Amino acid sequence: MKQMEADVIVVAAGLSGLAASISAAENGAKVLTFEKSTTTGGAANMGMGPLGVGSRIQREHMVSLTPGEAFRKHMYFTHYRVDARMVRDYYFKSGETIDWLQEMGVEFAGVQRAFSAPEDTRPYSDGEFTWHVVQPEGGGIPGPRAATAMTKKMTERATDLGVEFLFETPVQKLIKEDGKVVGVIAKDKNGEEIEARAKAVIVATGGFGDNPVMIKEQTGYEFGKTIFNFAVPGMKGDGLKMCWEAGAGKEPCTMELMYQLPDNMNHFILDGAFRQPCLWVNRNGERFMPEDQIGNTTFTGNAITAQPGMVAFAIFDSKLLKKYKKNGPDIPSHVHPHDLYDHFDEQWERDLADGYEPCTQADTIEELAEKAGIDVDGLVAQVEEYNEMCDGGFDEIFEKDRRYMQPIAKAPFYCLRQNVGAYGSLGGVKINHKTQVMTQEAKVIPGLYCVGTDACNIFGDSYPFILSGNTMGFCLNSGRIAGENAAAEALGDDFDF
Amino acid sequence: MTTLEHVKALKDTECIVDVLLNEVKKNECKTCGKCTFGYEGINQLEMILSDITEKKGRPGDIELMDDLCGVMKEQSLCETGEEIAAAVLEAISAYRKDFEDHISKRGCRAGVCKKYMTYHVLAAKCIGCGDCMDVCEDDAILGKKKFVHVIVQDECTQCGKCLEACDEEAIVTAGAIKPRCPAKPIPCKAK
Amino acid sequence: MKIFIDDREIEAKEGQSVLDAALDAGIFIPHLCSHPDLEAKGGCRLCSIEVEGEDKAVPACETIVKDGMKVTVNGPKAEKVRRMSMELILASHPADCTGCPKYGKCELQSMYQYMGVSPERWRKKSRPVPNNDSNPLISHLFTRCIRCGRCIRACQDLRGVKVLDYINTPQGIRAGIPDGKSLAEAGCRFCGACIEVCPTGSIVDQVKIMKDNRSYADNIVPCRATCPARVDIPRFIRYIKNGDFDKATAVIRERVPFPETLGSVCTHPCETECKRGEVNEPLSICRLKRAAGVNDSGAWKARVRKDAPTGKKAAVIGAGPAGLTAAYYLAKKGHEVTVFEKNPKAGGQCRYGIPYYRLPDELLDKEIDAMLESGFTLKTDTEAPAPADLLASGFDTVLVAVGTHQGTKLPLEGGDLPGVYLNAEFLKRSRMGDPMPVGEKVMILGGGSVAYDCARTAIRLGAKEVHVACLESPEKMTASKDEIEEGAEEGVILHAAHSFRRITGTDKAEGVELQKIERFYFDENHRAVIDLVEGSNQIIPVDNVIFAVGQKPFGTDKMGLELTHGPYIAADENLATSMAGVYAAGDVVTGTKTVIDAIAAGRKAAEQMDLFMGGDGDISEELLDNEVPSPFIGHIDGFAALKRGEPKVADAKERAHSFSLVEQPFSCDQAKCEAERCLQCDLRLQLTRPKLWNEY
Repeated sequence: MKQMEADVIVVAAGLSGLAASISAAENGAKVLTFEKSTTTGGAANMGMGPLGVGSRIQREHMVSLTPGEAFRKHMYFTHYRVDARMVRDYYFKSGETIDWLQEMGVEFAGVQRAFSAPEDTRPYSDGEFTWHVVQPEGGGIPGPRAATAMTKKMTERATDLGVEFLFETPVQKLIKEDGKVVGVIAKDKNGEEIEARAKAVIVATGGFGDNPVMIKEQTGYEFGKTIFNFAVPGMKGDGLKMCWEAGAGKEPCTMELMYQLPDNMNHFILDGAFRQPCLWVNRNGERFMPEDQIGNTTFTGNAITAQPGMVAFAIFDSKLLKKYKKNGPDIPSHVHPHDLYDHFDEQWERDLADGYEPCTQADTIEELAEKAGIDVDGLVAQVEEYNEMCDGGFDEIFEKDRRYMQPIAKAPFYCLRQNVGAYGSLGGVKINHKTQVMTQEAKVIPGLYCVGTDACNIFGDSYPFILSGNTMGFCLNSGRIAGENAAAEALGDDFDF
Repeated sequence: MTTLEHVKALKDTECIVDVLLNEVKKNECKTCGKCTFGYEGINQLEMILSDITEKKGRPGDIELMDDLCGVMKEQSLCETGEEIAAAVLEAISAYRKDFEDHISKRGCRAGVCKKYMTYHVLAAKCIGCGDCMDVCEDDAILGKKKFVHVIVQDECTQCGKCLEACDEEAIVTAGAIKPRCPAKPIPCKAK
Repeated sequence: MKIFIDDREIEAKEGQSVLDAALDAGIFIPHLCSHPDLEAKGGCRLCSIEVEGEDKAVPACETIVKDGMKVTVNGPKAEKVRRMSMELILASHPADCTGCPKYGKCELQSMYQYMGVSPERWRKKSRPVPNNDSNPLISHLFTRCIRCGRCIRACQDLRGVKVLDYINTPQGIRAGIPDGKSLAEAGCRFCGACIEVCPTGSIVDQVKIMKDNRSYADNIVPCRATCPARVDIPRFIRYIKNGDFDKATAVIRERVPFPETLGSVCTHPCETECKRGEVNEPLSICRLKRAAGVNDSGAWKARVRKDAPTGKKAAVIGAGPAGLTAAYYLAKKGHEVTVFEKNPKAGGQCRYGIPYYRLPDELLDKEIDAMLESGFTLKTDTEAPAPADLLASGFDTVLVAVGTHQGTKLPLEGGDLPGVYLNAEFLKRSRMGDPMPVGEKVMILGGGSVAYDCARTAIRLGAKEVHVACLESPEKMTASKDEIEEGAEEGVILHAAHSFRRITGTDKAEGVELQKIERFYFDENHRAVIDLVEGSNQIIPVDNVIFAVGQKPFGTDKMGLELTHGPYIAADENLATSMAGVYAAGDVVTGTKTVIDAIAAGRKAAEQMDLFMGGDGDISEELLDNEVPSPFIGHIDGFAALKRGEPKVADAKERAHSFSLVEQPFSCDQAKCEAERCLQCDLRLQLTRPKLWNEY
C-alpha cells in the first residue's frame, strides 16, 4: 500500500472540492485532492455560474440586493427550518467569493436571474439578480457548460498553489483514530491502495444522483419509475456513506427537483417542444397548476410529485403546434435547440413508431385520454371547461396568464407524459456553520469537514430559485469556508474564520 | 457551373440567398464529415441561409457567415469546403444589400423567398366559390358562398395551395406593396 | 533537432509532428481528432498553431518539425481557428452532458473546459440518434459522435478489421456501420479499440460489462481477472493461435504448475466471464489450457527459477494441489522443503477424489514429477508430526494443507444402514483399486461435481440403475452442465429439486423416499427454507445410497491450532494460523473448493512463508520473453458466428463400462481454430490513453 501525507485532504475535485482545495492551499496547507474521474469540476461543468450577493459586478449592474436581504429572503423561503448561521455565513461570503474568482481570472458575463415570473406573481416568485454567469473565453455568448471556464481557472489556480490532484483515484473510506479523522484510504486506477494521512479531511463528493438504491432509501423516489433525475456518472453517494460510517449525523436528504422525460436525451426535441403553457393535467384529467408557471422547473417538479402516480401530461392541439412552428415557443428555452419545432414532426413520428411510452397522438380527446392513460371522462370534462374559459379569455380556476389561453380544439391532439426529474441529491451530512461534520448529538468530529451537495442542508424542501445560482453558490462558499477552517485546524491556528 | 460562377452570373430573377442555400444543400461537404470546418461549416451555412430565406434571419448573421467562411476557406481539409466558403464570401461582398433586406424583413428582391410574400384575394375577381377555402390546411381563409374570401395573414403559412386552386386568378402574391383587399368577407361583385 | 515553441527550446525527433514534439516536451496543445496511436488527419483543427514564415494557422498534428522551427501555440490566428472549431463542434453536440455515461471522463468535456468557449453564437443542432444496445458488448450512443474519425481509423488501419466507417444518415454524417448492418454481420471482432479511442460517450462498453468493484484493466480483460491464479489467458491463447504450444505452456506455467491437470478438471470461472460469451459462446479456455499442456515439449524448463539455497527449512503437510504448489515455489526460492503425504501417492483430491476417467494417474504423475525437479522432498505413506513438533525438529515454517477428505452425512432416517456410503471413501477406494461393492441400483444424494463423480463411478463399477437426487433445481446445481449431460448419456437418472425424506429398509438400505420441492431458498437469516409439494412422495428402490453432500477436514483437532466452524483451521488473510510460523491453505481453510483455488492458495502460502523465512515474498518467474503482440488483427468474415470447438468424447455406451478417458484433448488444429475465436480484449490495454490538459 502506497503511503502519502498532507495537511489537508480533499475528497473529490468538483466545484466545492476545488474551492476547498484552493482555500486550504491559500491558507498555507499542503493539499492532496483525490478525484474519481479524469477531470476537475464535476457536475459544475454542466452549469453556467454561481450565486453571489454583494459582488463588485452586481454593484456595477446596479443590483442593490444585500447579503442581509438575501439571508432574510432565504430564511422566509425555507420557513426558518434550516441552519440560519450557515445560511448567513454563506450569503455574507458569497459576494466576496465572486471577487475572489475574478482575481483568479474568471470572467463573468453579468448577473442574471434564472427566469422571470409572470407580472402578478413577481413579489413572491421572481428571481433575484444573483446568478453570476461565467463568460466563455474569447467573449462568446454564455450557454450551458459555460462554467467550465471557471472550473478550469480554479484548477489552474489550485495547481499554482501546489495542490496535488490524484485523478481516477477514488477515496474508499476515511481513517478514524481516537475519534478523529486522520486520513483516507483510496484506490488508484490500477487498483493499488493508497493510505493518505492528513490533519483534516474535506469530503465533497456531490451526492448520490447516480445511486438508485440510495435514492430509494433516502428520498423514497424510485429511479426510472417515479423519478428520472440526472445521474452524473460517479455520483454514488460515496461521501455521505463515508461520513456516516465515521459517525456523522444525518440530515434529511432531498432530490433537487425539476421535471423531464424518461431517457430525456434521446427525446430532447419533444422535451423542449412540450415545455409550453398549453394544457397540463394529471392522471385524472384535471389541471393542477397555472401553466404559466411551467418555466419554473422547481415548482413544476414539486407539483408533479404531488399528483397521483407522480406524472403529468402536457397537451396541445394541431393549431397550437402550427403556431409554435410559425412563431416559436411561448416560453423559450436556453437549453433546447433553437429550431425545436422544425424537427418536431421527424422526432414525434419516430417516437410514436418506436412506441416511446410518454407520447400519444389521437384524433379525439377520448382516444387521447385512453391511449395516454388519463381518466377519459375527467379529461373530456376538463378540456370542455378549459376551452370555454379560453373563449372567454379568462382562466377562472388558476387565473393563468390570458396570453396562453389557447383552446385544445383541432385534431390531431398531442400529449406528452411528464415525469419528476432532479439535478441530483442535496444534503445528508450534518455540519455546523464552519462545515465541520457533527454527530447526531451535534458534537464535532475533529478533522472532518463536509461541503457542497453532500452537506447542502440549507435548502429545505425545495431549491430556492428566488436566489438563482444557489447550488453552485453553496458549493463554492461551503468549500471555501471548509478550506479555511481545515487549514487552520491542520496548521494549529487557534482562531476562527 | 461552380458555385462561385453561379454567384457571379446571378440573374435578376434569382435570389442570392436562395441560390446559395441550394448550392450549400448539394455541396459534397454535407456527405463527407472528415473535417470540422467543411462539415460543421456547411451545416451552419445551411441553417443560417435557410433561416434567412424563411424570414428567421438574425442581426449579425452576415458577420457570422463572413467570420465562418474566412476560416473555412483556409482550414477545410479539401477544396470543396474552400470553394463554397469563397463563394459565400463573394456573395456577401457583391450582394450584401440583398442579405440585409432579408434579415431586416424588408423582403426578397427577386420575389423568390416565399416567406417574404403575402397572399391576397382580389375582390374584383373573386366569385365566392370556396375552392381556396377547401384547400387551405391552416383555416386561414374566411368566407362563404358568393362572398369575397379573405386571407387572414396571421394564420397563413404561405403554402401557395389556394393560388393553385383558384380558377379565377383572383389570388395574387405581393411583396412590400400590398393590394387593397376587404378585411372581412363582403358580397361578390364578380360573376 | 531543436524547435522553439512559444520561445521555449525543445528537443524534437526527425519526422515527428509538432503536436507530438510539444506533448512529449510537456507542452499542451489542444487536440481531439489526433490520437497517439493513430495516424493524424488534421480534421478538427483544435491543434492549430502558427509557424514563423507561414501566413495562416496550420494543424500541429500535420506539421512535421524542422530544425530551428519557431512555433506559437496561442497566436491570434491559431486561437481564432481553434475557438471556432470548438464552438462548431459543441454547436452540434448534445448540450445535456449529465445524461452521458462518459461524464467526467470525456476528452471533449476536458477540452472545452480547457478552452472555455461557448457555441451560443451558432445555430445549435444536435439531432438525436437512438441509442443502440442491440450489439453485444458495445453500446452505440451516436448522438454524441463528433466525427473525429478515431474509431474509424482504429478499426480500419490499426486493427485492420474494417467495420466502422463514416456513414450518411438522415441525422447527418457520423461514425457507424455501413449498410445498416449489425456489428456481428459486418465482421466485427469486438476488440474494443473503438471504445478505447472514442473521446466522447459515443461508443462505450455496455454497462453490465463494467463492474464497480473491479479495476479498469480487470473489467477490460475479465477472464484474467477472474482466474484465482491470474493466468494471463489472452496471452497464452494468442500463442496457441499461432501454433506455439511451448510458449503457451510457458505463459500458463508462469502462474500455475499443473497446466494439463487444470485443463482437465478446472471449473474455469474465467469462461463465465469471457466476453466472447456475450457474442455467442465463451472461449473454451480450459480445454485450450489442456491442449497447451499436452503439446508442451518442456522448453519452459530452461528458464525456471532456482534461487541459491537459503538454509531455511519448510514442512508441508499434505501433497494435494495447495501443498504441492507451495512446496514447488518455496523450493525454487532456495528453501529446503519436505512434503508429508499420508497416502501412498501425491495429488490429494486430484488423485483420490477425481475419478480416473477424468484425470488419469499417468497425467498426474507426469506433472508432479516435473514439479519434483524443483528439488523438494516428497515423503508419501508418511503421517506428519504435529506442526509444533515439526517446528521443534528444525523446520522454520509449516504449511497445513490437508484438504477435506472426510465425507459428511445428513441426519437422515436410515442413514446408518448397511449399504449407505460416503462420497470420499467411495471414490478413494475405487481409485485405489479396492472399490466398495455396488448393487443393481444406486442413489447418490447431492448435486455437485462429487455427486456426479460418484454416480458415474457407480455405473462403471457395474450398477444398472443410478439415480442422483438433489435439493437444487437443475440450473442451480453446482455440477457443471457438461457433467450433467455426460452423466445423463451414461444413464444417470436425475431427480433435481427433490428432498430426501428417509432411507428405507430394515437390515440394509432398500430405498430412498423423495418428495418434490416447490421452492428452495434462503431466508433473511441465511437459513435454508424448503417448501414441499404435498403428496409428491415416492420411494425409489435402491441397493446402495451414497451421500455426496459435502466433505470436511480430518485430523485437524490434533494439530494444536485454532479451529473454526468445527474442523476447519482458522487462518487470517495472510494464511497465518494461531501458531507463529504455521500457515494453512486450501480446502482445510476454505472448505471444499476447486483445484485452481487450491493452487492460488498454495502460491499465496509460498509467498507468505518465504516472507516469514526472511525472503522478499516474490515467487514470480519469467519463463518467456515479453513480446508485444501486433495490434493488427485483420478482418474475419463471420467472426462472431464462429462456433465453440468441441473435443472428441468417447461414446457413452463404451465409456460407461470402463474407466478410460472420457474426453480427448483438442487436436492442434482444433486448438488453433478455437484460439482464433478469442476477442483479444487485452490488446485494448496497449492503446495509449491521451493525457488531458490537467495532467500537463
